Amino acid sequence: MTPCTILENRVLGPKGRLLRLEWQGSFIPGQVIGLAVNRDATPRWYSIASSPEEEGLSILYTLVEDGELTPRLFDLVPGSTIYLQEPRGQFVEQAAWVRNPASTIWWIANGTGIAPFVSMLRSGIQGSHRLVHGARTIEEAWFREECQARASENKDLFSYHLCLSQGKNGRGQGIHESRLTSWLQSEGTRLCKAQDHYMLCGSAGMIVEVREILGSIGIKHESISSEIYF
Amino acid sequence: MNQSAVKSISEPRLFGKDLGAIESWVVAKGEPAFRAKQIYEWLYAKGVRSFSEMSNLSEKLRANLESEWILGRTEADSVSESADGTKKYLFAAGNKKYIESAYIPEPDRATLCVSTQAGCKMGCIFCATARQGFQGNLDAGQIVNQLYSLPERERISNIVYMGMGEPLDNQDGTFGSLRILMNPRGANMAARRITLSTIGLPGPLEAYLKEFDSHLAISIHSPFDDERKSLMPIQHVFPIKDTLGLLKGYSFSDHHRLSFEYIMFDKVNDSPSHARELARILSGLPCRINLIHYHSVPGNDLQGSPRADMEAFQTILKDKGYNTTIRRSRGEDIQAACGLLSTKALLRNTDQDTRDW
Repeated sequence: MTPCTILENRVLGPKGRLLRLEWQGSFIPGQVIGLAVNRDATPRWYSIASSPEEEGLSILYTLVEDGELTPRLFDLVPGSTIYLQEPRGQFVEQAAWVRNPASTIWWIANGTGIAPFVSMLRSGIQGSHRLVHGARTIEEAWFREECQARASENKDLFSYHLCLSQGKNGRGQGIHESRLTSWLQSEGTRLCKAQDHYMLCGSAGMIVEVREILGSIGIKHESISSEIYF
Repeated sequence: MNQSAVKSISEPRLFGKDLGAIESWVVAKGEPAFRAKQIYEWLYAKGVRSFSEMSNLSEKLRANLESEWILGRTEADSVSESADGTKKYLFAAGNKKYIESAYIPEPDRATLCVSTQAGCKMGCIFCATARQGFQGNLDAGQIVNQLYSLPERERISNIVYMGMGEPLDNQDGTFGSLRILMNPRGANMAARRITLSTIGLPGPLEAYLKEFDSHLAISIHSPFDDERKSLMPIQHVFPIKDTLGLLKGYSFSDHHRLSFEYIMFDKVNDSPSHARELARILSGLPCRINLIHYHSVPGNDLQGSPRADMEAFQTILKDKGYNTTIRRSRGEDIQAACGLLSTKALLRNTDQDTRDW
């Protein structure tokens, strides 16, 4: 584990934070890093939420009140030290997925699961992408404005769907007042194609349900990549 | 739900506590430390069901135990019996969680398959437990309770940690239960009678190998990276080659066995090239390979390999020097066979309103 200095612990919402660390090294968008508050602790794994070109490295996290690490992360201030385990992981886009110009890469996430897709988006995308993000309320729709702006600038290449399971005030471009799984079943599946590739990131429950929805319309398991937060 | 389980939600349970925790409590009560060993033996060696049975403790100590703890053993809520003699037990695990365990008798032995979590986070696409998501970890007491409550307990010769959940994702509960099972003052089971099965989480795996001599089974299910990713999301973060590299630093034998579990899916991972590649990547590891018939679960497009293909696969591995067995499927008619344990139907969607998907 390597000691790193915290550059920023930005408040994103009541329980959400973006932690930016001073770190110089390479990673592939989609990879994760291990974090711990002391050198000997077992690291907890977080998707990187920034692009390799940005200064430092960011992770998105929410407070888990009885969690082992996040209550301690919440208290960290710029200048504090945290311990990092090098980027790892293979939840990354494959060039082969976009060789067919008629195919789309779907990014489906709930909660902080949007992080790896933000890293990929900021790093530059090739081919058509569709991001579907499930959140409870508009306040938990992390990176919403950034995603809406990108979708507006690149209508042909990138579309953004925000599904609010509890929010009632989120009407706007790409915002749906329904659960992610409900939207997927009622509208999303009409957009799915057999040649598309589906990347899922977030909680086990979401991933299992989305896989079953995709499977029910004939999407093969080889077309689905999943990163489960555990 | 039985009454002892209802009581267990709100009061601390003694069953499952380790010697250190019991000793801390005993000393805080002004009692000599050796009383802790006596309590430990009553709980785990003698398996008492009430504090009143702890006859070599003073009345005062028993009264203190009674007022501050519940003993915490629970009986199964229900049992299903298969035509082949396998039994599946359902346990309440507190706070609307349920788990299942399987008792698998043979003429010369009997195996108990225990669960370590209610549900599972790992999301393997072929597993029924994965379909229910994750409800929580079991503590050490809830894990060993699956043995202690078993009517057939005296027949149990082997315990396998192959039920619901990923054991190494619940290090506290799993390790706590192993310590009770293998403690000479506890259940006093030989390490060679216990097998832990895991998909391979490196940190906890290393900790397991350092502390315990019980057997280890690794769920591999494909020798190819990309294919394993599509079956088991964990492959994205902890590829099997990392696990294999770690294992090569340890020694294994008949008394401390390493095996690999390989569920066979028709036209997915059952080709001769899969067998050859499996043999190649396991080269250098003294291990057994268990080929497992796949029991279909809803929600995926996988089917089990035909028996003939499994045998051909086995032959290739045996020719390459691997002790390879085709596991006999047990309890399929009661959904107790490998990959079929699930308490999804019992979950009340009380958290529907709080989910973000």
